[in-house]
Amino acid sequence: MHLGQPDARLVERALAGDESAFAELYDRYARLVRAIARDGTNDLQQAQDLAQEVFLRAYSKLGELKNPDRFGYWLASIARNVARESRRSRLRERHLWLGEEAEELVDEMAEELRDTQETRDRLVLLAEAIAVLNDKERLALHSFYLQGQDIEQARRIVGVSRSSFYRLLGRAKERVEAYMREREGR
Amino acid sequence: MMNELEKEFQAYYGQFDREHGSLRQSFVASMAKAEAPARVRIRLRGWAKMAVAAAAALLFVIGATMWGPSAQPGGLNGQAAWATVVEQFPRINSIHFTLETPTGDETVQVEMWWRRPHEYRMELPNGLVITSNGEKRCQYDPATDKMLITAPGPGPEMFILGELGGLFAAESELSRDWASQCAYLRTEEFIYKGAQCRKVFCEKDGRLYEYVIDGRVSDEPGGTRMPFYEVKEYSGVKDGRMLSHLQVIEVGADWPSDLFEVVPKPGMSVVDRREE
Repeated sequence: MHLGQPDARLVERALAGDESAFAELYDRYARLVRAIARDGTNDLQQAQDLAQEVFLRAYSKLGELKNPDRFGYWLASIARNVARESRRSRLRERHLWLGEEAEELVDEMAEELRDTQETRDRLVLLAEAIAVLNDKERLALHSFYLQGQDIEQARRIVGVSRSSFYRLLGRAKERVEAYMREREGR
Repeated sequence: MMNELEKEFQAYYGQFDREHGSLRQSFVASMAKAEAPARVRIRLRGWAKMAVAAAAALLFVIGATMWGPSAQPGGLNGQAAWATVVEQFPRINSIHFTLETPTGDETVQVEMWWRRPHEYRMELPNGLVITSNGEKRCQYDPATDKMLITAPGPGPEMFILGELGGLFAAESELSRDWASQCAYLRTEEFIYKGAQCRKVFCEKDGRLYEYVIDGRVSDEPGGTRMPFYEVKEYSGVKDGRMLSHLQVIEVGADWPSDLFEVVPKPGMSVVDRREE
């Protein structure tokens, strides 16, 4: 097990036939890819399925990756395309995302927080607030929270400079907070 | 409010850890059945190899001439290096970049994908998307869920790019003319993202341009080396305010065609003005 190797090294090993190297890349980015896939669907299980598809697609196209250093950015691009394709067909149902399936998911999430009624409602609202962000802002949030809050890693996935990433992330959080405040009538 | 929100973000993103173990197991099993990826190598036929060799030789001659002993202060022939870089523009088939433009207290950021000869996608603040693919130009506003379709080709959004955007669309002769009209000021060597690069400062029409360039001659087919990494445009040569900041993300990438159109969804309001 090679812990902590750079993405480029893992890509090289995968291309040389080492499947465990690509499995390590899967471990690094699976949660992020699921979050991006979730942007295109109202169902966590479907997002998990889409994420598997993203990784299989990335695995088959790995030899086409021109710069292995940018594996995270490249993978996020594939995930965004898959989410975009899924969203195009499901956007009309977006309002349903706040319905039964979201309630079920929130029930489970809230249980972990030893929820109150107020907490359950806020998590649904948070999910809604994230859904109305633009792609870039959503990706900034996903990358930040799912890559261990590592700014350098997160901004490479988004493909922007450090300062731009800070602005993007700040704006995303402000918009989420404003949206939630407005909906709660505060 | 923010501390509470941070906890809620953690709870929200915690969901994506769910079932990771079983999902990983399932993926590894699928990977074992899938065809192993192979490195894509570009194999040149005999005539293409000769053409690349001839081009490389020509570029070496040009480079040796331009990069020879220089009368410029500091010993670096920055203008020649910049001119060589501009020569590469027409060889780039696609480019992905962001452009930041300070406007008052805010900074507007635009992200753009451009593929020759006439495809582009621009994503603006608030989710506005503009695409053009040679058949139609689509302008979609998610706030109103409306799309406007017009004849293909650059629209008012191209003003955002200014002269910098024109460099990618212009023919090589125009690109060289643009470079020759720039007055070279100075060059600085510096380390950029771990690599030895140069900052080249030029002046044109009273504005200062600061380029971060690599400047190495490239004979990669299809043009995958960035001509420059960043460009900053200032309102004046001394103490000017920054007007725009362009950062190249990637060149020569292969994108799906659907990146350059907005496909109407059921319920979306679509106005088609191509016949008008």
